[in-house]
Amino acid sequence: MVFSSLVFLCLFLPGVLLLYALCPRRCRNLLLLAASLLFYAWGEPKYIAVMMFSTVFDYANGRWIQYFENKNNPLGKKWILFLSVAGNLGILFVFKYTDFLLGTWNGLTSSQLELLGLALPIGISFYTFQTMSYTIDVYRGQVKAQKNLIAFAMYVSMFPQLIAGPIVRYKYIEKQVKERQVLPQAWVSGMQRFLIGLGKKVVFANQMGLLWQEISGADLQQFSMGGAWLGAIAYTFEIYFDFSGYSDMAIGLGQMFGFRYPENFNYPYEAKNITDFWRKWHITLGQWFREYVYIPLGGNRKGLSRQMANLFVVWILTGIWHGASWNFALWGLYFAVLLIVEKMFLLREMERWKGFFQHLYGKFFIVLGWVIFAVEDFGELGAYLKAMFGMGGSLWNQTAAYQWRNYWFFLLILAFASTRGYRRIYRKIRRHLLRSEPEFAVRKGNQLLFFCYSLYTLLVLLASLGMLVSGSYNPFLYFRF
Amino acid sequence: MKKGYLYCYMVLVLFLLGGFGLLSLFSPARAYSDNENRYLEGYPSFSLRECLDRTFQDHFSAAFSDQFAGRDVWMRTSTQVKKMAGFRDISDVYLGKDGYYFAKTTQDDIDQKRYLKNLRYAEYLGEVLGEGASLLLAPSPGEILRGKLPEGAPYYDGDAMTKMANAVMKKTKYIDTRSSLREYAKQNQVYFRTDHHWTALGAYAAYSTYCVENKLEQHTYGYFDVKRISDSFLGSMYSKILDPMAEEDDLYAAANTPQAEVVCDGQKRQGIYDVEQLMKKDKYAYFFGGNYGEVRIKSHVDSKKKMLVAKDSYANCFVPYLMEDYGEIVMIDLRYYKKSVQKLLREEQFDNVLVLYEMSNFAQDTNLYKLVH
Repeated sequence: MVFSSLVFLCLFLPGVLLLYALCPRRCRNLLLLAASLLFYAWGEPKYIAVMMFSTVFDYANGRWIQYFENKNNPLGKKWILFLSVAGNLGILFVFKYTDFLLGTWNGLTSSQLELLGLALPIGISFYTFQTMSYTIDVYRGQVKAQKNLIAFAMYVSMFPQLIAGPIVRYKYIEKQVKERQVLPQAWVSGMQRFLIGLGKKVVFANQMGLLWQEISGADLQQFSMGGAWLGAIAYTFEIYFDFSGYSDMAIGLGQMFGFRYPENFNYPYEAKNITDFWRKWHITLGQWFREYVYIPLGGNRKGLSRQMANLFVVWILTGIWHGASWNFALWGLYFAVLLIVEKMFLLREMERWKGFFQHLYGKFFIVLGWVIFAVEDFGELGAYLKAMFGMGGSLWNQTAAYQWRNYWFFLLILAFASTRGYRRIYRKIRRHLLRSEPEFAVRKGNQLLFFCYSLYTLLVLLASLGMLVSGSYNPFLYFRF
Repeated sequence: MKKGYLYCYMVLVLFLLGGFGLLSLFSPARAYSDNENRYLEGYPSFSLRECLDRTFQDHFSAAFSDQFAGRDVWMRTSTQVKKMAGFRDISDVYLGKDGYYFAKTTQDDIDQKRYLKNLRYAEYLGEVLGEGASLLLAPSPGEILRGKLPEGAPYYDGDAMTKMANAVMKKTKYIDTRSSLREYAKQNQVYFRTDHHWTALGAYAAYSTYCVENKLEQHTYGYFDVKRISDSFLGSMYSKILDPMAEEDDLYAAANTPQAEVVCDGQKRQGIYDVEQLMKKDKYAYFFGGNYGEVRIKSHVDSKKKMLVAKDSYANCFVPYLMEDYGEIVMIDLRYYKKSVQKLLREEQFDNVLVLYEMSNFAQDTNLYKLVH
């Protein structure tokens, strides 16, 4: 199931929320586990076995590590950790990368090795990373192993973050797995967050996705520089609103069940450079790689050349984590180079630039990066990039003119919505009220804001339902993750 | 925040989500949507096997969306939101000027190879029959009413397509109705605003060109006594987006046509018009009651001439004008016609054969090969 579907919104979610409210405290983990399994099985009725295996496997590994820890047997601990990491990476490798490597091998040597043809289980990259982080953290002594299988299975399969993140490390929510409570205030703001996320996905991202499809799917002869840039910008907005919308929905849902998930996005398109961008984009993934790959490899503590090598490794891994295809590796490499250049001198250099030029630089390389991400085939990618730089086809044509005319207003709304703009306005109004009418602001202002925001979220819900019922374009972007 | 407000919000949201969910699940299923002109998906019955290969889930999701409570209202909402965002086309429908809606048919939608192939099939008829075969490709609404399209909207190049048709057609006569339609468009509506068809006047404009090309005596528009038969027609373009702002079209039809026996796929019918269809959503089906594999019209007129029309629905409103000139007209719709066209041509002596399609439909149609079989 995906969040942006009518079955989830109108049957699954209200059902689970009601049952959860009625459920006695000690059965709540079991209920969430059952609901999550149903949620997953709806979309992956067969591969749910893989997830369950992964769960039981790492539950056992956690217990074993704890056992050896208590017995003071570091070697035993190491072996189990190795087993766990190898097992998780093995599962990920078999399902995600085998065909990719076989295909590449076939292409290079013109041999005819047969592909496995396995479909990729939804969310596999997310849950294997979660369970892996769990055993590593137990090994490092950062958390105690979870003894209750139901509680652990609930943590792994928890439907809000199961298929598209955020990647929630066990140690963040260890306490909440045991004991949590939901206050009405938290429930309501969780729901509001969920609805805003839903709107981001259904109203914003899907429209941009349609535009991107239209432009990238057109004949090469129809390409113009103006159109290619519009397409790239459309995809840039699509992926942001889709992904951050999913994260908002996940965090909001978690909140309604008493969990506090880590933030995953922090207005990444406000970033003036790529270093900053990656601090604000898919934060939990960046942290994961930092914590479990970059720092163990030595990070920046072993000299400049070693640091560079580490950055390349981390970014190529980050790239192919997003999909088993060479364009994702190239995408990772692209960021590795940019980040290294920025680290070496560009960031220092840029401090002297005007803000406008810093933004221009940041946006340019962000948008360019998304094109590499979005176009899988290198031939097509080359053609698209050529078009963007005016080297293929025309600079401007009727189609591009029409599309720009059609979308400029919507793009302005999206650009505004991807910044802190709304928040700033909200704060300004509040500050103004507090200064001029302090009594009113304290007594009635909060209520007024609550009403306005509630009304707004309800309108977003109505618009989203309309879009979903009318069968507007509604893709799931993370099937490759 | 007072607890009361919070609980209000909780109840409201849950009621909105769950309420619509339950209503959609338990209200009696609709089989057909008049507004959208299509069959709706019903709920599948549960089976474990279908669950494992996900067909159950897919069918259930489709049914849940089709049976969703207040479906039409939701569709209107969606259109309204997209209009507010400034979009000038929604679900491949252009929101044109003066209340016109156009199918968004761009150059990308036209498969030149298929078009060329289809032209050659039509040309083959002329090679077999010699004189008397013609091809009439009705221009798309956006071609004639280019000024009503949204500013700068991409549309396929009808000019180039006409040139191509003229180049391929040697034995079969190509009838270009564009100038006539443009002329009549100055007087009144030649295409519906909310439907993809031409109006009775548009069809008449094409008829007049047909007469000139085939040296028939042309009756005046007044002669046919074209009357308004409905003022509440919302056609196929409207159905795709359910724009709440759409204005209804008038539907006209020629009243003065000869008495005739009409047989549709072996079933006898009362005349060429089907009044019952006026009570329904798709009022264009007033002409012949819709599309059939084969329609035979025997007019009570002196003429003994016989005509074959291979056509799409554009012909339904065009053919009535020809009943005066042909004692028998056979209309075949190649999508549904299961017999051999060549055999039909051999067995019955047709004085004229006309292939009549809307141009973009002709270019995309995959059934025209049947003309040569």
